Amino acid sequence: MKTRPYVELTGVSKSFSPGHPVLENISLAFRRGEIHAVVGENGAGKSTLLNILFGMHQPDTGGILLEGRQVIHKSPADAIANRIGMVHQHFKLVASFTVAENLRLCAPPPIRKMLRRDADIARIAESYGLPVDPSAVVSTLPLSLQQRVEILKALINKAELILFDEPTTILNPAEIGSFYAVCRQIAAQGRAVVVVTHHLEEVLANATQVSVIRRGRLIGSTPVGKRTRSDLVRDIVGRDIDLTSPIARAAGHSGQIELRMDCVDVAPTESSSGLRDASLILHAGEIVGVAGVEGNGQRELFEVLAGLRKPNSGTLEARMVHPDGRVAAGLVPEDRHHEGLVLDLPISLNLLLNRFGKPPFTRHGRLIHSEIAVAAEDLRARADVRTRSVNITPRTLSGGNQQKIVLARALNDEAPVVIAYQPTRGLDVAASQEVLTRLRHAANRGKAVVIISSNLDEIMRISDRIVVLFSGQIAGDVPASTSREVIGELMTLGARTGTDRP
Amino acid sequence: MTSISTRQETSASHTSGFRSALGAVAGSNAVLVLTAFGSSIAIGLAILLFLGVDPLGALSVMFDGAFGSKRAIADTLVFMTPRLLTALAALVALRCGFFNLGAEGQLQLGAIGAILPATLLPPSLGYLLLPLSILCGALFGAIWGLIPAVLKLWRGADEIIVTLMMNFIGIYLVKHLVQGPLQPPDSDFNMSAKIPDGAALPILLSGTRLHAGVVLALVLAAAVWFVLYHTPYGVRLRAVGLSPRAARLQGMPLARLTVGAMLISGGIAGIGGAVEVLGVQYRLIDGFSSHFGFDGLAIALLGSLEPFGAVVVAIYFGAINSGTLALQSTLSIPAALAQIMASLPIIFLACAHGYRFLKGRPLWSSTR
Repeated sequence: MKTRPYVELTGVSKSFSPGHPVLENISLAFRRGEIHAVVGENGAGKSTLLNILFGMHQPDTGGILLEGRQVIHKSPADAIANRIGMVHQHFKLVASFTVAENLRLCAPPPIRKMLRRDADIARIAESYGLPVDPSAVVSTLPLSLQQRVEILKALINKAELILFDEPTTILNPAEIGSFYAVCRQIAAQGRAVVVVTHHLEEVLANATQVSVIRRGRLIGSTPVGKRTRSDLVRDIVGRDIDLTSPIARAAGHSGQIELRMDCVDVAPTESSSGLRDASLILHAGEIVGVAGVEGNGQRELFEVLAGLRKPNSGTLEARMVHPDGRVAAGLVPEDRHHEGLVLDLPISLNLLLNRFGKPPFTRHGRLIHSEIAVAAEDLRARADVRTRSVNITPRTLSGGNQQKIVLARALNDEAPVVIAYQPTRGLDVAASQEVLTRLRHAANRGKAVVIISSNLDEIMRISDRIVVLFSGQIAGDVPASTSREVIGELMTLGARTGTDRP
Repeated sequence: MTSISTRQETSASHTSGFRSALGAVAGSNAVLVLTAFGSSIAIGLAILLFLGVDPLGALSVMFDGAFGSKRAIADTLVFMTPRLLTALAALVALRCGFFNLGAEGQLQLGAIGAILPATLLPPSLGYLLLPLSILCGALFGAIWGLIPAVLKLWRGADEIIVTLMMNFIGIYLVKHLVQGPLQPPDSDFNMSAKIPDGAALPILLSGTRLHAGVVLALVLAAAVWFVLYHTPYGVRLRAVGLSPRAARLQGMPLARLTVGAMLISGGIAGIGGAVEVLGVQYRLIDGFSSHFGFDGLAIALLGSLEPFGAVVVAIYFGAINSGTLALQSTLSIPAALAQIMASLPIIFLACAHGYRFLKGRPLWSSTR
C-alpha cells in the first residue's frame, strides 16, 4: 500500500431504471500524482462514474471517501468544495466573456479577490504552467486554449482531483501531446488526474494507472506499465479485435471515375485554411482517405463534396448527380446529432430520410406507413441497430447505434459515392471497427468512398489511397502502403514528395 | 422564454400523429395539462370567493354558459373558431422552425381580404361571393405571412420582430379602412357596410350563432394533421423545423419549405379573419379581434403543437369566453376574469415544463 488515495469509490452502484444497472459495485481509488485513465465502450458507465464523483448523480449504494472520510456530493458545488474539478467534453464557458471574466465568474469570493487584475490572472496561470491571455474573448480562442481555461478554472478553485471527460477528441495530435504534458505537470504537483477516453494509444503512452469498465462492472484497475493494447481491448470489449492489420479489401479495385474535383478554391476563415487549388479523383471500388490535422480545409472539402457550399472557383463533376446539381452521394456527416440525424423524428424516418418521398414509400402524395415500417425494420436488422422499436426517436440510443443509422442510410443510397467525415468520432473500439468494416464492404461492392478523418491510424488501415490536406492544399496523394513517418511529415509540413501529383 | 422551453419539451413526444397524440393525452402529459387547467379554474373560483360570490353557483353559471344549452355550445364553438385557426397557423410555422408571432396581423389582413370582394363586388353574384371572399381573405393573409419569410431568407431579418411589428400595420390598416375608404358615407361608426347575404357564412343551427366557419376550422385542423403526418411534404416540413442542417444535407429545399409553411400559416390565419367577418360580425369593425392571434400562439403551444391538441385547447378557450360572458350578464362579474382564467394554465404549464426541462437535462451534465 502506497499512500492513502485522495478519493476512493467504495462499492458504487447506480441505475436509472429498475433492473438496468449502469454501474455495479465499482470500487476505485484515485491517488495523488497519478494519471488515471478510465476506459470502456460507449454506454459502459464511464460518464456516469464521473458524474457521481462530481455530484451530478447520487449513487444508489456505496459512497465516496475523501482521504478516508465519507463525503456526500449532492451537487457539483459540494464536489468543488471538496477540491474536485471537472473539465467537461463540451466546455462550460461563457463564450462571449473574456478568459479573466470566466475565471472570476467561477471563483468563490475569497479567491475572486485575488483575481481583480488581469495581470494577477496571467501570473497565476503562468505559475501553473498554463499561460493564457486573460483579456482574450473565449469564443475567439482555439479549442485547445479553451480547454486550458477550463483546467485553470479547476486549479483556481484549488482542485486536487481533476476529472477529464473525453479531453482529446477535439484536439489535433500536437495539441494532444501538450495536453498530456499539462496532465503530467498537474500530477507532478501532487494532484490526481482522471481521464476518460477511447484512445488507447494515449492511455498507454501517458497514463500511469488504467481502469477498464465493461457494462457497468469494473474489469480491472492496474498500473499501465504491464498492459498492452490488445489485452486492454480484450478487457474493454470482452473479446479480441484486431485493430492493427488492414481491413480485407477486394482485389482489383479502381473502376470508372465516379467523381472529379478540379482546382477548387474556398476562402479561408478564422478557424480554417479553406481550400486552395484542391483536386481529387475518385474511382468506383476504392477508398480514398483524406488525412490531415483538423482545420486544414476538411470541413470545406466535405461541404463542397456534399453540395452544401459552392466553391469560389474550380469544378466538381460526378457520374451521378441530383436534379439540383448536387453530387449523388450517401453522406456520413461529422456531427451526427445535428447533421446526421433528425433526433426528434422516429428511427424509421431517419433511416429513410433520403428516400421517403419516392415510391414505394410515397404514392399519390401520401406516405405509405406500412412500407416505411417494413423497409425500416429490414434496414435496422441489417445494420444491427439495437433498439426496441423503429418507431421511437434515436435520441436515447448510444452514439454507436446512432452512427449505425446514419451509415445504413448513406450506404443504402443508390448513389455510387459515399462521403464520410470523421465517421468514428466519439465511438468506442468495437463500434469504430464495425463502421470501418461496413465502409470497406461498401467499397468492395463497387462504391467509391471518401473518408475524411483526423485519425491517421484508421485512415491507414482502411484506405487504398491517402490524400493529405495541409493548409487547404493537397500536400500529397500517396498509396496506403506509405510509411507513417512520410504521411505524418506531409500532415505537418506539407512538403511535397516525389510521388506527389504534378 | 417560456414558450421556447415548452416547445423543446413537447417536440420530443410528437412523433407519429393521431395515435401518439392520443397516447400523450392518456400519458402523464395529460395529467399535467388537466391539473393546469383544473387549478386555473380553481384559482378563478377563489377570486370569485374573494369578490363575495358563491363559487359553486358561479361555476354552474359558467358551465351552463359554456355547455348548458344548444345555444351555449354554439357560442363556445363560435368563440373557438378564430382561435383554432390562428393556433393552426402558429403550429404550422413553428413546426417548420419559423417563429410566426404575426397571426394577429395575418388575421386582420384576412378580414380586409374578405370584406373587399364581399362589399365591392355586385351582390347579384349571390353565393359565389362567399368562396370568393374566403379565398381572398386567405390570399391576403398568405401575402402577409410571405413578407417576413422572404425578408428572413433574403436579408436575414429576424422573423420575431418582423411578424410582431407587422401586426400593428395590419391593425392600423383596418382602423384606417373603416374610418375612411370602407366607411359608408351615411355612417359615423368605425365599421364598413354590412356584407350581402350571399357572402355570409350560413348558420348551421337556426336560433344559434353556429356558422359554417366552425366546420371549416375543424376540417382545416384535420387537413393540417394529415399533411404533417401523412405526406412527404409534412415530414420535410417537420425535419426542417427540428434539424435544419440534417434536412439540408438530405437535399431538402429549406427556403422553399419555409416560404411554403408561411404561405400556409398566413393563409390559415387569414381564413380566421375572413370567418370572423363573414360569420360573426358581417362587417369589418375596428378591433373585431380580441387578441385572437396571440391566443392562437398560446393554444398551439399548450396543445403540444399538435392539431388535435389545438382543437381541445381552443375549445377550452372558447368555453372560458362564453362562460365568463354568462357570468358577466347574470352575476355582473367582470369579463376580465376570462383573461385570467385563460392565461393561468399557460403559466402553470410553462412552470411544469420548465421544471421537467431542468430535471430531465441538468444544467451540469457531461453527457449532454
